[in-house]
Amino acid sequence: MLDLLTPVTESQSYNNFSMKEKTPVTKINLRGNLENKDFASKIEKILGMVLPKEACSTSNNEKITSLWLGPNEWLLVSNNEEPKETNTYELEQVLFDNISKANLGAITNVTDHFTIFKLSGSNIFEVLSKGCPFDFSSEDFEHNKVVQTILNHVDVTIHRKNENDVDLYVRRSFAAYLWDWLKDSANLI
Amino acid sequence: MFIIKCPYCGDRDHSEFSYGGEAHKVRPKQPAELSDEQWAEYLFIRKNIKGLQYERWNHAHGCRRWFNMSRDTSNDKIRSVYKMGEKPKE
Repeated sequence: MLDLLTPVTESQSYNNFSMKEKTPVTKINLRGNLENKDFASKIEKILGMVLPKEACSTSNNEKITSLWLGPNEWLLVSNNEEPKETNTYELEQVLFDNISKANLGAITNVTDHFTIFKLSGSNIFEVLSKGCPFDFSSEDFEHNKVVQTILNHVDVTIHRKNENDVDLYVRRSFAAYLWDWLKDSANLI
Repeated sequence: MFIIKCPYCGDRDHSEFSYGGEAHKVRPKQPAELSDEQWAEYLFIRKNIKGLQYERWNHAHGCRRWFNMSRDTSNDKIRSVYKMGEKPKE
């Protein structure tokens, strides 16, 4: 069992912008071909939802949200935080047995690979725009959209859950650096 | 700074992409039968065109997919973007 160490332990709030780390949350990377009917129907049955096919879109049910990462790649995220003591993930095992073992696709547990910053407030995109080439005012970027881009030279995945509610996925080893950058930028708004 | 239209994600800034060299270079079927010169030609020699060039690009900081692009190297105007395995439209 992994001894969970969070890279960021504080939470911060500024002028209409606050951030805190959200951990641990199950994250599973899924690769597969949606045009393969076997794969599509099995996934639909296991997850209880259809995987998003359209670029940068998401789909969700009570337990899981699936984020589009590419035409054959998704990130499955649990909606709730997991108890800190456990490091076994039921969903991973079910998917592994049904998808990986049947050679339909690939399952990778990336729970400890990414950490999530939960950002909220009306100034989120004011802060993010300081280091990101993506146009957040674009009409395509509404609620429940997900975008992979760079934020101050760091690869990030930005999931817009609501108007003023964003989950920012960043690699664990970059988390402390990005956190400091966010603090700096937030100070200026 | 210019905008590239990824065939999967749509319009994105060029800083999310990385360049992958000349496109449509076909690997010789029987490398062992080639002379050193012919092999070196395949491995190292690339066109360096001023004008319309066919290139491979990777959306490295986005969806991580490879695709092809035809671009005018003299003014960075992008003529077309198409998926791997496809032929350029014009």
